[in-house]
Amino acid sequence: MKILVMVKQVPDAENVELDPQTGNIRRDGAERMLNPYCEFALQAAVSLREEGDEVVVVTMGPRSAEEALRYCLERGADRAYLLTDKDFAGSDAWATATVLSRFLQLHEPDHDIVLTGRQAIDGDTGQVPAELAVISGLEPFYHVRSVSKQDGMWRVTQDYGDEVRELMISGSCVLSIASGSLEPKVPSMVDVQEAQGKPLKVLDRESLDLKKSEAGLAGSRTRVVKIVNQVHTRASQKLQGTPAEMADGILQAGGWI
Amino acid sequence: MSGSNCSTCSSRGTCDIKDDDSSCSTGTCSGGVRLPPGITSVYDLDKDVERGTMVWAEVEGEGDEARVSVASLEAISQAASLGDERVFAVMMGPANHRRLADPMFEFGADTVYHVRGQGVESFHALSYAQSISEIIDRVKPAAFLCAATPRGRELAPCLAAKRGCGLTADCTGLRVDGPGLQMIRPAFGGNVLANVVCHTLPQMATLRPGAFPLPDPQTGRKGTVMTWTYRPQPSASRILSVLNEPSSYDEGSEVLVSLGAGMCSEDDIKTAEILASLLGGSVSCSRAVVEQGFMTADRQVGQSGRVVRPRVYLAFGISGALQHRVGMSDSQFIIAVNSDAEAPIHAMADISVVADGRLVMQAMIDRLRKR
Repeated sequence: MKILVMVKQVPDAENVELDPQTGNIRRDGAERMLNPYCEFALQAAVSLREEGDEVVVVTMGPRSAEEALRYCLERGADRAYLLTDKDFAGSDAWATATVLSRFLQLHEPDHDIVLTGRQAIDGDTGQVPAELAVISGLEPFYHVRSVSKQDGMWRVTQDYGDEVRELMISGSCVLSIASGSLEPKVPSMVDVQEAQGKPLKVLDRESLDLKKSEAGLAGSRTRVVKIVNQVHTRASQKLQGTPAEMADGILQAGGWI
Repeated sequence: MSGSNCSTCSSRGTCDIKDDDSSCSTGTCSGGVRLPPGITSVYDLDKDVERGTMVWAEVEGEGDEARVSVASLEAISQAASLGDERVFAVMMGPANHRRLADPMFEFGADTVYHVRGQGVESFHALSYAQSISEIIDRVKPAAFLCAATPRGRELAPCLAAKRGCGLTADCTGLRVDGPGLQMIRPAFGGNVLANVVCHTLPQMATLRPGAFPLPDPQTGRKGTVMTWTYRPQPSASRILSVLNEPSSYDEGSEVLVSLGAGMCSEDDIKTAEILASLLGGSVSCSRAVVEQGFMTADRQVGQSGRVVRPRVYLAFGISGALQHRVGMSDSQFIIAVNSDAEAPIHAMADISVVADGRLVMQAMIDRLRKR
C-alpha cells in the first residue's frame, strides 16, 4: 500500500518577527517549520502504515523546503519528493493543485490514499486539498478527525462542527486532516541517522511536463493586487483602580451590567 | 421565442426551468425548450451576460428546525450591496424547504434556485458543486460567494477546481472595482490585508462568517423560486452514521473566558468556568495551558488550535504571542487582563487591565452574583 502525504513548509509563527515598516512576516532568515496540520497528516499516514506499506511525502516549495521533508523522513516517512522550480513561485491554490496533481499522475499514479493538512498556517486557504482532488479525479473529504483501515476500506470520521460523520471509503481519495497530536514524536538518534539514507528526489517544472503558463504566478487564477497594513484600531482603553472597580469596568464594557 | 432576456435566469428566451409554484416573471420563457449545449455561445447569444452574483445558501438543522444559516444571509446581503445586479441564491433541500426562500428575499436575493431530489439533504461537496456549476452555466453570474463555514470551505474549492476558477478564501471585505471585484482578506495573522482579484468568471470568494454584519431585513420583499433537479455524483463513500450534536467545544460561543500561562492551575480553570457560566460563555486557553496538560487541545485558541470570533474575548494571563493572536484577533471585543504591562495582548485589546487576573476574575464573579 502506498500512502501519499502532501506537506508544506511555513514560517514558524512562534518565533517570527514582523517588519515594523510593512507589517509583513520577515521571511528572510525567519525560522521555518513543517505546517502543524501537515504534521497531523504525517501522523495519520504513519499510523495507517502496516508491514510492507510505504509513506511518501511530497512538498512544493523553495530548496529550503527540503528541511521539512527531512523532518518527515525522521518521523516515519519512507521517501520524499521536492517539487521546486523558480517558475513555481507565486502559485495560488489552483496553480499549486495543478502542479501536485501532475506530479501524482506522472510519478506516483498507484497511490492508495492521499493525505493533506487542513490548511497551511501562512496562507490559511484550505483550498489545495479539494482542488488537487478535483483536478486529479479523486474525491475530497474535509475536516477529517481520524482515519483507519477496515475491511480493505478507509474508515473516516469527519467533523463539520454541527455534524459528525462516520464513513467507509473504497479506493483512493484525498483526506484533509484536521486534528492530531500536538506533542509530535521526537525522533531517536537512529531515526535521524536512518533518515539520511532515505531517498529524496527533486523534480522541476520540466520533469513534471508543465508549461510555464501552468504554474506559478502565470498559472494562477488569482492575483494579490495590493497589500495594506492593518492598523490596529483597538482602543486599548486602560482600566485602573481596585480589583472590584476594574471588574465593574470590564462588566460594563462587555455590556453585562 | 422572444428576443429579450429572461429577467429571472438571464438566459435569452431559452429558459426551460419548470416550477410548480412560480413562473418566469416576464413570461418570455417558453418552457420545455432546450437548445443544444453551446449553441447560445456559437450564435453569440450569451454575450455580455456575466452579471449578478450567485450565493450558496447553506441550510442548518432539519425538519421544522431547518433554516438558512446566518452566515449565508450575510453573504446574500453582501451580494445585494455590491450593486444593482441580480442576486441569485442556490439552496439544497427537500420540497418543504421552499419557505426558507423568504428570508433570503428579505436580505436581498432576487431569485432562489431550489435544488431538490433524492439524497440532497446529505451534504456532498462534489454533487453540490455539480448542481451549482449547472446553474452557473445557465445564469452566468459575474461572481460566486459562499460563507467560509466548514461546508463552504469544502464546497467552494471543489466548484472552483471544477470550473477552473480562481477563489479567494475567507474574505472580510469586498469592493467593486470597475467590472471586477476586489476581495480583501487578512494575511499573516491579520497584520496585513491582501486585496485579491480573480482572473476568471465567475469571480469566487468565501466570506468569513461575522465579517459582514446583517442589515435589517426588507420585510415582505419577494422574489422568484426556481426548482433545479439534484444529480448526485458517484461517491466512493458510504455514510455509516451521522451524529448531529455540537462538538465538545462551542465554536459559536458569544463569550470566551480564555486562560494563558499566567493563570494556569486547576483552581484557575474552576474559577474561569464559574465566570464563563455567569457570562453565558465557555472557557478556552492558549497553547501553554494545553501543553501543561490542564486543558484538552480542542480548547486551544491560536495557530495550531482554533480560530475564534466571539462577541467578547476575555484574555486572562495571556501574553499575546503572534501564534495566539492569529486565533482570536477577529473577536468583536477584546478584554485583556495581565499583570505584565509589556505583554503584547494589551496593545490589541479594546480594554486593557494591568492587574492580577485572579483578583479581577474573582471580583467579577462576586459582582455578577450580587445582581
